[in-house]
Amino acid sequence: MTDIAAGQRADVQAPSTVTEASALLAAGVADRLRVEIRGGGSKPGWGAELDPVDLRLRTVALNQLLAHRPGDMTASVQAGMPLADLQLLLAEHGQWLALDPPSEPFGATVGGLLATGEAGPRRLRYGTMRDLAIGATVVLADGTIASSGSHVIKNVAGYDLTKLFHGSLGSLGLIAEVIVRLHPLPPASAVVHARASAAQASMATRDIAGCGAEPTAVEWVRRAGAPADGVLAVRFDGSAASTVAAAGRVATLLQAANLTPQVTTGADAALHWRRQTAPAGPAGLVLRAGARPDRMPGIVAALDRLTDASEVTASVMSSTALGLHTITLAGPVAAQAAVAFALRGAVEQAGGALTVRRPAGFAAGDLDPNGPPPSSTPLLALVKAQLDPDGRCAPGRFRGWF
Amino acid sequence: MPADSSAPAPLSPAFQVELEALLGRDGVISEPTELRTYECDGLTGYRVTPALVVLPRSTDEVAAVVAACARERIPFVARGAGTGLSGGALPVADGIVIGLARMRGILDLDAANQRMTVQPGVTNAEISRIAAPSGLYYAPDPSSQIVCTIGGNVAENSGGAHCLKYGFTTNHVLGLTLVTPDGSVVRLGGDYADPLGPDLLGVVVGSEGTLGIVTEVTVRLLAKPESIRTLVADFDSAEAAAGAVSGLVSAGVIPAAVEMLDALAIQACEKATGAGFSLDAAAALIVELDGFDASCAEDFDLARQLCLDNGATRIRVPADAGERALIWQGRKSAFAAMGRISPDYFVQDGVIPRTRLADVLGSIEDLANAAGLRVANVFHAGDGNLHPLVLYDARIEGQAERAEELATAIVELCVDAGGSISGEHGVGADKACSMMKMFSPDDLAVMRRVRQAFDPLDLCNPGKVFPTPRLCGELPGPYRAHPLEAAGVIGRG
Repeated sequence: MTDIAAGQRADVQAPSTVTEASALLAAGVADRLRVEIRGGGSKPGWGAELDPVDLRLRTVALNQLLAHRPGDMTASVQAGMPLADLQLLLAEHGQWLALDPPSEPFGATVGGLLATGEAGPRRLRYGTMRDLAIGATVVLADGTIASSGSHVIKNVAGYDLTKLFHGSLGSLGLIAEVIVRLHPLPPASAVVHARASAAQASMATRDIAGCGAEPTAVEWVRRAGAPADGVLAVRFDGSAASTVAAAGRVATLLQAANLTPQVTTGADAALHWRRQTAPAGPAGLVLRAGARPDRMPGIVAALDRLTDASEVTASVMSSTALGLHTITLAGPVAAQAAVAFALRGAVEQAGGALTVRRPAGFAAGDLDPNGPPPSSTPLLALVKAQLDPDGRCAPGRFRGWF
Repeated sequence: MPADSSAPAPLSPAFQVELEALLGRDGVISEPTELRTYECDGLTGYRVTPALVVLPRSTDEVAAVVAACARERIPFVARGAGTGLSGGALPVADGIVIGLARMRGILDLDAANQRMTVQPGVTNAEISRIAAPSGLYYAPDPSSQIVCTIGGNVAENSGGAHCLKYGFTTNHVLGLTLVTPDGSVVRLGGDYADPLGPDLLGVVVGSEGTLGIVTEVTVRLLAKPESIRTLVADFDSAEAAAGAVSGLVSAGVIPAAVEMLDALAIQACEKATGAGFSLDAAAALIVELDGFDASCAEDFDLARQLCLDNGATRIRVPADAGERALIWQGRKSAFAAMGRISPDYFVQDGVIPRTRLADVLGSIEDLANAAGLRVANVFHAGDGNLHPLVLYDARIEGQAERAEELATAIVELCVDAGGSISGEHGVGADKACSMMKMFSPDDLAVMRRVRQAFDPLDLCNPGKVFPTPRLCGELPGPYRAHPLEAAGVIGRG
């Protein structure tokens, strides 16, 4: 099979077993074939654009649930299985892989979530693949198959190769199988939401953290073109009684902060949550900023100064308790790039970092998607050289770093 | 790979002078009697006297010492409090030990953002003590927490009784400053979540001091739970207790901790602490739930019911915080308490899938009977992390050897059950040979490639984690208690 993309010819292969994947990668050693590894393709703009490749490896046929052990609350899954498919299978046993990434409806796969580290709002309670993947089988560029971890949630034997591949964006090799820790599907949810400015949301988030209730997510959402205030949304998952009680406590707390909270419980809660926190639709650049949580009002203020002075509009979704912000821009391309560049400066000044995800075909000029290399760059380069000495996997993904 | 093949020259007097110039004379220990203090960690059967011990006070001093070692090809081993149970801080002959005990500074407490940055020699318990006025605490709680250091916790990815709900060290470390084996200083993770790129922080945590020396640690702090509910349930058999654990897990209850003691462990703990465990019970579970009042109360009622459904013969709920503390003191001093019922013992640290608890405990009993030895079990049942204690008497000829064989057979049983050779004590020097039981040659080769990236000269804690013919030919001596453990000050589970 071949396909022609960006004027370039490359083999497309979709192995259905680890052994097949190993043979495909090993066959390219002599010619140093460069390889793109892709899961569901739901996050094409993450990392820098790849250099031309010779082989496009797809995990679409690595899509089987290998073992589900409900009693142990673990499952091993081939990397190309879409998260949405896995959740359906697990739900039959009242369990789920506790991830709610925005890309789930767009085909995000289990392996892709490990390779990117993407997670959704409820990571506040459950963590990301970094916390939920307890083992993985990977295939290096030379065809070597290596496994780490197992079906136990506690394990310190050997190096944690699973974590090494977390966030690797295909640059170290193929993730072929993942063992994940599961959680019981919560029987009920409750949501509290209130209009709040960035500063109010930040203060309220801190109050919520100390109030004794254990939210699964705390998000602040401000849509482009919406009033200056955004919406703070707090979610609880658990038994009906405890989520109602927790939501009530947080509502009281928000009232005391002069906000006007509304509580949604019962069957409407999950639907309401999805509506409140739906990701911004396809637009231009997507900026992902991270900093200490209390830097959030300053970052939003910097964004507002930049957008006020340009034709760019921005929607913001913040995981306020974690200090993570997804900012989706719209407007003239060059102006978007200028806002992104300037906001990166403001975020870095606040001790954080900002990465840029661009949609296909978006020419953002010299804007560096990855940002300045961290002090660990030489180590990353050495690890890359050990695992992929010919630089075959995802060439250019970490351009400017390694 | 081991020190044999890279054969470092014995330390020259000039090298010692250089280190003294870097650290001051009081920062370098060379007296043979003082060096003996550092010859082992909590795995006291393995002993090697180092050529020198240095006691730096800052990242810069550590970096300067490591750079000098790299230049002279001298191996070095980092050491915290020396409470590790796998020989991870076992010195290398002709190498130096870099003791981090003087690096005890609190560098930053950011209560608003629930994080603290400390030097590696700060103890685990000290972090929670400093955070307490802000209503915060550090969640991982190894049984040695009042003595063990956060640097050692990072090296071993330490767990503890309350890791079932909250996760392990690796889930609570936000950032590190690492001196790499060439003496460079690198920051991993830190001020913001989700740094781009492969997760080196996640590899360094739990790498047992083989990838560099951690000189600053930024940890996540949690708000103290508003409610804590504890019960002790007695059972007629270990199988019934294991059934209750499975019941809890499948009911979706995630307690903060689920600990199990069998009859021998109960006897030992009662003799040592009088914590109130029932001497006639075959097994006891300590179940602790914490968190939001309403959900904690609900889950507590459910947990109590599940214990009864699985045949609990008695359920005790501590009347106050003092009684609860006594129960935990009993549990956490369980290893030290073994001295009350046996002159010697080996402690094992294996993990099994939680559904295999009952049958693996049965198999351990069969193995023990076949070996003519007693095994006490006290462990983190909620996450399947077993700590079988193989009891023996070193004065009886051949018993130490039989006990050690039994301990190895037990951990291999764990691997066969789909588990792991270590849940929290680490591989270190102790279990390097068992790595081959758990990992394929290719798995190990890839791990070695990662090690090569960090430490191409194999100077940083060489001879640990990876199996080598030299190590695997050696047999450890019998277990001897750490002095603090013997005194009942610290535990080891």
